[in-house]
Amino acid sequence: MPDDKGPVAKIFCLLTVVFAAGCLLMALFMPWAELGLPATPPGPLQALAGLYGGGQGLIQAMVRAAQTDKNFPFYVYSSFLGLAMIAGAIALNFVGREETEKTVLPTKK
Amino acid sequence: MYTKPLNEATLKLEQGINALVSSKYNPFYYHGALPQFYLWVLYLSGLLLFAYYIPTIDNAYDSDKLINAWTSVDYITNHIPFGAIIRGIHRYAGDAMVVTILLHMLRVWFTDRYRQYRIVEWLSGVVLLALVLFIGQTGYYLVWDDRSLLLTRMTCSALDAIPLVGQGIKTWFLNGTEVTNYTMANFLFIHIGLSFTLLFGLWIHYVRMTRPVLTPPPVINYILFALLLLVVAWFPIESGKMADLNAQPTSFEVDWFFLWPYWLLTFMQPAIYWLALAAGTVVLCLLPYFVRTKPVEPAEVLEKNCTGCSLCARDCPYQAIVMVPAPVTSRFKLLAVVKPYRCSACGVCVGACAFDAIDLPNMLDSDITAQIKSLAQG
Ligand code: SF4
Ligand code: SF4
Repeated sequence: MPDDKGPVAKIFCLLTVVFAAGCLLMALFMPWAELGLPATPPGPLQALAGLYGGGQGLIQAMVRAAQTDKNFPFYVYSSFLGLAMIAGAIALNFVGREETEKTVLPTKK
Repeated sequence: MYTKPLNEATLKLEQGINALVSSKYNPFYYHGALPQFYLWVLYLSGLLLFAYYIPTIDNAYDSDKLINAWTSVDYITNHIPFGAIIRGIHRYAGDAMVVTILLHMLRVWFTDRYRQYRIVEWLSGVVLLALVLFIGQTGYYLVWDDRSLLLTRMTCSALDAIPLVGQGIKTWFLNGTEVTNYTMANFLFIHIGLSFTLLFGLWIHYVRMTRPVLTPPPVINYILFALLLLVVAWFPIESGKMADLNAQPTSFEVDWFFLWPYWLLTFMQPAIYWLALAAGTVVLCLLPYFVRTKPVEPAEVLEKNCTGCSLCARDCPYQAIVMVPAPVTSRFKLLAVVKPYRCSACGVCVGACAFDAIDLPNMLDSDITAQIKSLAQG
């Protein structure tokens, strides 16, 4: 990984943040569905719901899995939160890394 | 020395990780703090499980309204929102703690940081590892499925084989002479009680370190917890059948992190098993004494120069310097004294002292500065 925050690092960082946000969003859609809230969310969220609705096959597979194991939704939350945390940690690794460390030797006495 | 190639390999691996994630977030530099992170996770998840757990065996096996340890675990897993996740986190955090302790142990062994002035850390570490393994095993009894029953019976027959004290320990273990509700209460008490005893053990583990690293940085914590969440989701845990005291379960699924001693018991006579466990523990404890190296030459205080400013005592990484009342002939109140068995001859105190009052024998200040410079620049 490069030490400076060059363009590749910046793009990678941005992608990681987007991925983390996506995972969190996915995890939030699950309680939305479970609580029986409207399938089409209000206002500006509709565009996002449209995106989400694109993966019909995936959703149907998830529903089938949920019918056989009622803990399935919890495992899905757990997975997505885990993935989001990893993505967040990778992003922090970029944002939070120190500038080049320097060792300063004091002159003594 | 025989650990030299291992040391080199460890340092190479660490350098590789540094290139990937920068030294600030290299988990190898927090190897002692990793198990500690999982310990906090275990305390918290254990607290949540404790709120619902019922420590009884209630042997009315066919009753519809049965409430016991197994049904309470089943309730936690299948009826409480996120109960399966919390249970999974508790179980896998235990496994992760064992893995990280072993990594920590191997790292200090390979890098030769387990002997001489670090002996208390090593010995307390061996005791802590044994405690963690035993606490983990008691967690398996608490589920009260057929594996719990089999493990309980195996423990009893192994204890029976110990001469003189075996019977007494077995009675303590079962909280009586046979498995009853009191037994489960005892298992729970041992599991929780010993878990908090770990804190006392950790205090001894840290007592000679001035600045132990207790918590990894948040980035590493996120990764540690995220890995736990993924394992919980992808390898859901399940209980076996409820234990039936009239049944004779004969096989069990082995968790290799905690239950390997039971696996050993399946093909060893109990007496040989105890001897093997005792021998293994003794070898681990004596490991630091197998290597002969020249003794550390501790720092020395020049009494006439010491002003009692305490800077050296504050900076010493190994708590090797104590401040004592200065002799009546001195015009200062305090005097630094080095505890030789704790001193690593690291030279930090020499750097800290502004009065030329502390020195490493056979080494001039200028030598130390030259060494530090070459290390910092190399
Ligand atoms: S050399 Fe000084 S700082 Fe280092 S361990 Fe010994 S007394 Fe402590
Ligand atoms: S730093 Fe030097 S002067 Fe101060 S207490 Fe230590 S030895 Fe004495």
